Amino acid sequence: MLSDGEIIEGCRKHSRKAQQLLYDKYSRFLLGICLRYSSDRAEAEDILQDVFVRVFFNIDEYSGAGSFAGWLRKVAVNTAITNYHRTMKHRYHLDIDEYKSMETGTVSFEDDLFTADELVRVLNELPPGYKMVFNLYAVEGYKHREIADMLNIDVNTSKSQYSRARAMLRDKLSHLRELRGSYVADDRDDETE
Amino acid sequence: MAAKGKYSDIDELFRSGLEGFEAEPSPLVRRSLMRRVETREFLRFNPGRINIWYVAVAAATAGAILILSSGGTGKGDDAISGRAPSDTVSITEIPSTGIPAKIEEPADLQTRAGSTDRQTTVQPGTREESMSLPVRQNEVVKSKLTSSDTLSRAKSDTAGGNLQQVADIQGENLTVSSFTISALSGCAPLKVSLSSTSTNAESIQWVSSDGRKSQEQTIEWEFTTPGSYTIGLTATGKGASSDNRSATIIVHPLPKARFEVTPANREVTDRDIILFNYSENFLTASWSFGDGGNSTLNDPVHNYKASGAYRISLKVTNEHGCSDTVSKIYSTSRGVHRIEFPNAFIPNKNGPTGGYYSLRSDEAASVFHPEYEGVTEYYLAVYSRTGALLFESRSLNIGWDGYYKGQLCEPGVYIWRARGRFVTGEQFQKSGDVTLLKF
Repeated sequence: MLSDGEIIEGCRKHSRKAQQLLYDKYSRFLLGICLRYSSDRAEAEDILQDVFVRVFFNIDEYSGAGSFAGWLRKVAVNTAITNYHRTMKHRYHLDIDEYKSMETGTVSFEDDLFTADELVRVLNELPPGYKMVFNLYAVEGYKHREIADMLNIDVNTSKSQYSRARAMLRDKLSHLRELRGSYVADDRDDETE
Repeated sequence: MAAKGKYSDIDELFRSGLEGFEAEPSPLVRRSLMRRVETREFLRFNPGRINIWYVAVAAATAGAILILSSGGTGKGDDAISGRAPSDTVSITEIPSTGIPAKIEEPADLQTRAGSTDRQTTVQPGTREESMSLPVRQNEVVKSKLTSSDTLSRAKSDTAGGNLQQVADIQGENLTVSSFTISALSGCAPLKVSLSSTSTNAESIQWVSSDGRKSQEQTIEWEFTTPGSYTIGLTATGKGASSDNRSATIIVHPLPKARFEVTPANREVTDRDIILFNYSENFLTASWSFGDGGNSTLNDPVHNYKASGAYRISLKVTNEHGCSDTVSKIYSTSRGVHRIEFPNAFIPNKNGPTGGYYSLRSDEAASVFHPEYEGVTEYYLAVYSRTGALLFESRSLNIGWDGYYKGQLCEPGVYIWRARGRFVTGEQFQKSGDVTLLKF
């Protein structure tokens, strides 16, 4: 197995072999990111292709300073954002005001055990805009100001979409937990229903 | 791979839960990615990567250009010389006349040859379809209908359908379904008379969308529930030839008339009665009071001039013109008359009220006034015990409020005198005393 440095060097020279190696090493990782930003697997794989094309042809942009995985991640996120902008017009959009759900109480998920697959699935159920903001803020760790710039939205929109996304996720996770039935529904009072 | 541990925060849950989340791309991705990369690499023309492909492609391109340039001139010559030949005429002619012409023309001929009698039933100039046979039997249906037609055709007028009919005409066995209908819309319950005018039919079958069936020539169906119904007629002739037509009828809902009268059947004479319309699903109301009086107001007020039993009827109509009528007998008798005065009252302590009162609402008895019926003329005067005139009224609407020149009178006994005339023309004159109380 070649090191990152050797692979990068090979890619700079457009070596087909180095490109294959890069793909082998990082495609799974990058697809994991793409899946979070797309509505289904097919879309995620389309984004993944775009990510690799960008990586192969813009490998010179990687200065070698930071971590290579970090750079790849950034390219993936940016590609996903580009894709979001491109497909936004095809998607059904919910107005923010349509969603009145607010965070109710503090349901804690302490002892719960969600697989990453479940988390991604829950995430994918969010409206596209909410998903973008939540991904960028909570998972990627961008600031609301940066997100606003990236998505061409208002800072406050980013903030409100983030908080609504949180509320929705909370609901969905509680629901998921009840569905699984493997946990005592401690915070539910069935008699009230 | 699972997220485990304590997460009070949902962000944290997702961040750590998705940490290192990976997924295996399908093999297809790699293949199509590599194809894309190669295409792009190729187009970028990297001088460091010249290989046999470039040479081959360059050679092929050059060859193609050569062939195209020589072939192109050759074709050009053809085009110039090829304008004159008459072969091209048939090609250019098709778009000008169009496909309908191709279908219509033979059909036209066939029809004329096969069945001339049908043409007589077609009214010239009523044709709407451009691409149909000249003899369409549904026009027979149309011309016979007098009401505004919402006749729908179950059969689509496609070219294929036309051709099928052409075949039938050739055999002179064209079975055509048609019928007359007495009404296409109306108020519930709607009774429609249907009569088949189908030609060359050996058997007919009526169906309605609410499940009725019949094979009679003439039928009468009644639709009680409001809604839209489709009536279809299938005519089957010799062989397998059959045709069907359908019509949609609309049964409009009815309004529901209901009203009440206030005061209810009391023997009143001179007072107005109020009629309250409690009808449902209606647009306009029409009242008849039974004494020749009418009104179109929703809640009219009426006054009967003579005693008797009157039939009050209310007719309500909805937006479809459907109506419902309800009537009630209302009896009233003139000539009942009385006038009675109380012997005590309690004025309002807070100031003069002006003495207005209503027989229905003055329960607190803060105004001194009579209870009466059938009074036409009226005069009331109130005196102090010393004989001073404190109050007088000629209106049945105004009594004494217990004040004199803005000052509340002392509690005690006061004298009143009243006179007037009843509706019967009889005069009355009454007097008495009343005690003004104070709480």
